[in-house]
Amino acid sequence: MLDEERVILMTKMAAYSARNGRKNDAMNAYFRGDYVGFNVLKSIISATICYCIIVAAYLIYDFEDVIQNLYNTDLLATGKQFLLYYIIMIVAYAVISYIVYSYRYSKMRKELKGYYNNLRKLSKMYEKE
Amino acid sequence: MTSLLEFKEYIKNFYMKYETYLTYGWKFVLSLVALLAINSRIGYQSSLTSFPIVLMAALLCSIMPKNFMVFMSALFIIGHLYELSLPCMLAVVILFLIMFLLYFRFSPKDTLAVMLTPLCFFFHVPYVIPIAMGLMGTPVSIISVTCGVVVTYVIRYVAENATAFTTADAEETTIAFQSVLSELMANKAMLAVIIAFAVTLSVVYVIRRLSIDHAWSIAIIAGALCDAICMLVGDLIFNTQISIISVIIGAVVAGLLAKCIEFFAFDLDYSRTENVQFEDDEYYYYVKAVPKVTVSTPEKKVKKINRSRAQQSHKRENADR
Repeated sequence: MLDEERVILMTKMAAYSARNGRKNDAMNAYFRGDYVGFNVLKSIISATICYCIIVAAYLIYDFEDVIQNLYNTDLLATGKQFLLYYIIMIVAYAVISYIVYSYRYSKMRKELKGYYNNLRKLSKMYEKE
Repeated sequence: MTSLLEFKEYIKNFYMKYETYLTYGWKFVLSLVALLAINSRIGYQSSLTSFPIVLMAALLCSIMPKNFMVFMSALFIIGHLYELSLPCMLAVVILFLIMFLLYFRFSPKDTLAVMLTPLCFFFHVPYVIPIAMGLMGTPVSIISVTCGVVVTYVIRYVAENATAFTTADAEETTIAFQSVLSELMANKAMLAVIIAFAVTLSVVYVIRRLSIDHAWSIAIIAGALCDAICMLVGDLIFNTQISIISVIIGAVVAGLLAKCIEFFAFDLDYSRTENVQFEDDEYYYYVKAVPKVTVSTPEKKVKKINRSRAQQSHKRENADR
């Protein structure tokens, strides 16, 4: 005989693992700190690439002015300014990605906990038989 | 109204039956429309404008994940601009790269808005986008919509100044590049639209989340009004020369379209339909789980007209106690 309650429970669990299971398992392979740290690092790298692109675009954009004023500008000061912008951008972006990924990790843990609870319930149902 | 509800029921059943194929279908149609729109607006690369190529690209989009449509559209845009002028393409590639690296790594769910916004502009119904995203998304969608608006204006600028770009020789390449980027940074109409959309989206989202009756309808009306007002205020501040009548008509049309979206999206939520397979010791299970549709019926109020009887019954109740 089909046990309807059990089918419902199994369906719920199968739906979860089809939707988020693999993604969450991959996430769960890391400790919280490792996961968040790794992703923040990735964010910093992509922000760095972005910054390089923006600076390159700026140089092309203002090419003539830059070349003309190359000998008149204080290179050290300009360099410092660019570095400051870079640091501001990196820090802001890292903080945002830290918040996002921490939230995702805790959400994943919560979902996983629900899944394991269902698993326990299911095994109890089998034991009862 | 009953016939409308019957129609909805019919669509519901139809969708339930052919869900898998319909998903392929709408992806195919949407990507086909998007690619054809790109071709008609900036179709400079003749090999990309041939219909078989477009058809094949759309077919590919239909079997790939949703975000592939956005990727394909971006590829088409870049391909066309490559034919038009290299600096132009460079500027747009930079724009796409920054968008992808900074934002779409985070929220791949929202990516579709970047494609839908230019498409709605193309069909002259742009104001529906912030309302729709406010109804179905979160405030973070503001960034996606903003990216969409930026893409729209860049494409428009390139299309309008195409002849200037094609005649530019080697010396003027930096000028072409500069002009695209200056357009990006200094276009006041674009800024006005971005601000208007952001405000509208937030207003719609906040009202939709309120626990009041008809929250969605109120949100749509407020969104349409907000859209129109913000655009007009933006016009006053930035002097963007937007035609007032077109704004008002656009807002009304957007409201109506959003109403349609509400009609189908509000209680027809098929995104959660699950097809799963599993087994235990005795059976194989192939289960299709469709979420229940809960329609809240308005509470009936009984007003007693015959006052004396009501009072009598009230007295009797008191006596019983």
